Amino acid sequence: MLPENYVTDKQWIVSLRLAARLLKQELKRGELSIMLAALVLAVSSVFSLSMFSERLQAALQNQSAEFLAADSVLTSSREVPESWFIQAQSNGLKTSAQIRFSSMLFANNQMHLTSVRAVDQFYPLRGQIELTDTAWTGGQPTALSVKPGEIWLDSKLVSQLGVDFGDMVEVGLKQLKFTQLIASVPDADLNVFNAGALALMHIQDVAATQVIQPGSRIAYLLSVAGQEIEPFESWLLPQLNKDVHRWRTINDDESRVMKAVKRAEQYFLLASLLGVVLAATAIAVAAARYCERHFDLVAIFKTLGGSSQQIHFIFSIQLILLAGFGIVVGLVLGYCAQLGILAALKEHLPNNVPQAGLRPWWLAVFTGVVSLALFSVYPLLKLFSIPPLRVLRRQMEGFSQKDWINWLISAIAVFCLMWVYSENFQLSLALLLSAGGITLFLLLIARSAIWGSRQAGANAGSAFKLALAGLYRRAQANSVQLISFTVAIQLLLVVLVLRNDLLAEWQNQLPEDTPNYFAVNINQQDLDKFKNAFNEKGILIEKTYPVTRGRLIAVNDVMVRDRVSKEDEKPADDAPRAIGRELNLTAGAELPEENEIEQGNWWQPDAKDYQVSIESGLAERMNLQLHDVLRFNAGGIDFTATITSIRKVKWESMKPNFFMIFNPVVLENHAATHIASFYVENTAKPELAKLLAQFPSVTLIDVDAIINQIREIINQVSLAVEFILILVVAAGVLVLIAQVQASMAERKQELVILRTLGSPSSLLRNSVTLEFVILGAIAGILAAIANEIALYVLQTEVFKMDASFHPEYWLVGIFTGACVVGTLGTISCWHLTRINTQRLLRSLA
Amino acid sequence: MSTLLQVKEVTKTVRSNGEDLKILKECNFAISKSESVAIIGRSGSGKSTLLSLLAGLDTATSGEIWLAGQPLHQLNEEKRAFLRKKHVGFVFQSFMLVQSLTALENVMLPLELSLRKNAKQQALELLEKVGLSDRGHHFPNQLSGGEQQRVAVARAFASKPDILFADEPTGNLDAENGQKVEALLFELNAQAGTTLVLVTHDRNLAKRCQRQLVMHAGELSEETAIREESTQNNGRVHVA
Repeated sequence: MLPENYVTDKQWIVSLRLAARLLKQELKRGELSIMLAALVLAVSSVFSLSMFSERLQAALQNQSAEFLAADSVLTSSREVPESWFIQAQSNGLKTSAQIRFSSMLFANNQMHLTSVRAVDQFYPLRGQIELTDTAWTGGQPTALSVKPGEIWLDSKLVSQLGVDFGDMVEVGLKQLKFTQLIASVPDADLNVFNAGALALMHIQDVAATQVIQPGSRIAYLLSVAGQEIEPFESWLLPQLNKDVHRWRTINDDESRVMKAVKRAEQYFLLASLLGVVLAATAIAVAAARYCERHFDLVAIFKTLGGSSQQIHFIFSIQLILLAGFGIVVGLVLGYCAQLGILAALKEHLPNNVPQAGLRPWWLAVFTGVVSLALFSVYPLLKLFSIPPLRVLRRQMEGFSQKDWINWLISAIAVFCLMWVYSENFQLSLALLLSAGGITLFLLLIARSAIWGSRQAGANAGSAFKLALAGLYRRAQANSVQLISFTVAIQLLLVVLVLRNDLLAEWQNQLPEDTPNYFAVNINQQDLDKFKNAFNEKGILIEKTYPVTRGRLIAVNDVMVRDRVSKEDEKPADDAPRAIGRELNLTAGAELPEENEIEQGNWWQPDAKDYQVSIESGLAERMNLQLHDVLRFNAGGIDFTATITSIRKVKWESMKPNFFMIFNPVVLENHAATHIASFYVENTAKPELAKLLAQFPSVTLIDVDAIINQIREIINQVSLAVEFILILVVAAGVLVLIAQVQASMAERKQELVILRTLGSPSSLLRNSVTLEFVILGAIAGILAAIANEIALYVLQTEVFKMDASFHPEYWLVGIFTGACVVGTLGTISCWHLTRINTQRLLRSLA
Repeated sequence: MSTLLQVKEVTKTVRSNGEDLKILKECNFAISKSESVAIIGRSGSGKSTLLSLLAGLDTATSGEIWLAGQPLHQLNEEKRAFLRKKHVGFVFQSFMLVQSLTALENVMLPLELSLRKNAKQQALELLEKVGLSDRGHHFPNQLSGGEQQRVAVARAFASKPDILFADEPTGNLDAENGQKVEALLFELNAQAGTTLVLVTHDRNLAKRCQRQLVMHAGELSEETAIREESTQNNGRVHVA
């Protein structure tokens, strides 16, 4: 029977009140600060990172899209059916039609072969055309579009044709009025050989020009832009004919920018993953400590007759309240953080950074819930299993010998986080398995190292001896702690080294004096004069390449007319259009920079037999092998050369690249023009027009705008990388603090004993500091080893960079480990070594 | 006087280093309502083990324990907890206060777990009885050892238990504080008419109880009654 003063209050209200009261006190006393901080950090970093990177990537994609002037472009050698435009529009996409052809333009009795783009009023869908008033000067973006009856010309054409605004220019049979001077178009052709003069006219005027005749080389473009390209893409792709159509999207763009963006994306992903795993580790450590600290409380509750239901409810509700609070704070902080970063980077970022979707929100909440729930499950189960008998036998703990459950649940939690975050099952599984392997390996080494240090320190001075004894005594706990320290330091090193390597590589690709102009078509007899004229104006021309136009006519004495005719197709990998009806042939004694021999060997400079080195993509497309004999015709002269090497070419490098390079003797007697690349400072640019006037045949190509655009993107990506580094460092420090805190209770007890036995405070302080310093240093060494292994795999397999060895980070690892762990440990234990023994005793009671 | 606690042929065996170790050997005794009984013995003699079995904190290897008419030996953990909530109070050597709750909240705890109303009022009254009404909002670590134990005593009586188990209640205190707590314990016990079972190796404390049971290497024997009235009650001990 119930006593008469039993109330009808629902049990859960009382339990809720009790849980809230306990939580309030815990928060007040700072007991939950580590767990809360770790939770807030995990949520806020996932939130800010995913939101920031999503917004940045959207902005970068927009910017990259400008290189295509659209999100995706279909190029066709036949007219694109009207229905395809309609289908794209019905899928919510913006479309633009364009026709590209080469034609002679006539004006003022001058003519020039020009690359003409007939566009509609929607061109460009991404990016902007820049116009200028004076040739060879930088332009201003415009919202104008070319109207019927108008033609817009670039600086090159204006110089060549000598036209002025308002002059009429003939394109085929149509007269068009020159109204605007083009400084740049977003989708400028980066190929040195193809970048002839450029003119824009309206697509409606094309018919009247009558330049399109059967057999004409025409490219019809369907450009699209919009949020959801995929439905249209999946509708379109099955209808495409490989011989006629080519579908390009910004994602398969192999340009330098996209490579940088893709690497940055991988870096974001990896660094964020590591950050989340670190923060989750901190939560796991803090959750375990939280539960351990409540062993007594549960025992008291059980002794006083609290039911399992009540106890489960009280602790679960505490964690739910904590999770709710932590997630909300994390979201607020994360949102502010990404706003702050965006504000700080305002001038480096494109205008109108797009809003992120819902993904960052649910991802952050999911991270918070999973981190807290899964990492708390085992400690909570252990807590709930605490027997009431603990009130009498303090050493009694809950179920033991089931640590594998903990490892299993933790592994599942980490895997879930990684999978959801990376959306890549294999990557997550590989990371998890390798992390497991490394952990086991480290565990073995850690135990050996601690054991070894005990042996080494047996005869050392007292504080040192005490420190080593402490390490050895807690070998089990310390080896787990050591792994945490090691993993935290290692992850920090990985993120730091990768950041430095990535930034260095990007900067090396585009050093300050990267050539921003190309001059093509320099006559042999003008070459020295050209060099001198430029050098006099302070423009240094270091390297020039001879170019001879020629055709490939046979392979191993088999005529390749068919194959050559197929060269009209763009290479599948988006390499520049170097194989037209004629090839640009060059000769050189040395392998050009950024070319890499894949098969065969580079020749001796004085080799007398005719040899050719061929670009690997072309070799593959034309099924050419080493030792094949190629016959060329250049200037009416046939000659043969044997393929002695196959090269990989970095098409994205801002340097002249060639499909075919011969050894010097081959082209000795052939007429050649030359190509030069050079860097011109802004202040020297006005000189260019004057200089060029002396060399009418030379065509100048300005790639400054492109280089600046690439630099801008790389700067943005670099700043984002820095931000991630800071977050990962913060997560790493939290893990370290959580781990140090976790060992506090045991340390308290030892300190009491040592203090009671009369050890002076200085000895205790020194031994505590030394213990952490040794632990940190060992962790640093292990981290450096693990770092090298991890970096080797990441650099070669993920980032496709050259592997590098990082001896400097060995010292950084050891030094950082010893300093950071030593400092954190000393600070955390500082008050323990200072408070009097009586208080310590009481706090232990 | 009716029997509140009945112990029949109780043994406790634990495994230690691969061998069975018998900590308690066939204990038999009964304790009546309102009786005060001290269990004395040397360290390691098994007295705390016996206390844990009597309070249902642990289970016996064999034998029967009846508390308030309920067969403790047949109840699961959950039902034993319910029984403790209804009938049992505790005072421990190490106080066992909840560090994150104030003195007042610690005293309220058993009342709240039992879902009783006016928990705060009752707790305040008890704190006043133990002389700590002005320390209600202090946390355990802000109190002296003696004060903490007085809070623990107040908490033990809060749920008006039928039986109070005290494990070395003065073991962690200096002489002065020990005497204060001792006096308080017996005073409140007398007021509430609670049965008191006290584990101690302090002979003087034991002498204040009506009966003394002596544990020696897991075997129980009864010392000669010190007080006259102890012979008049129905307390019986069957020495194995």
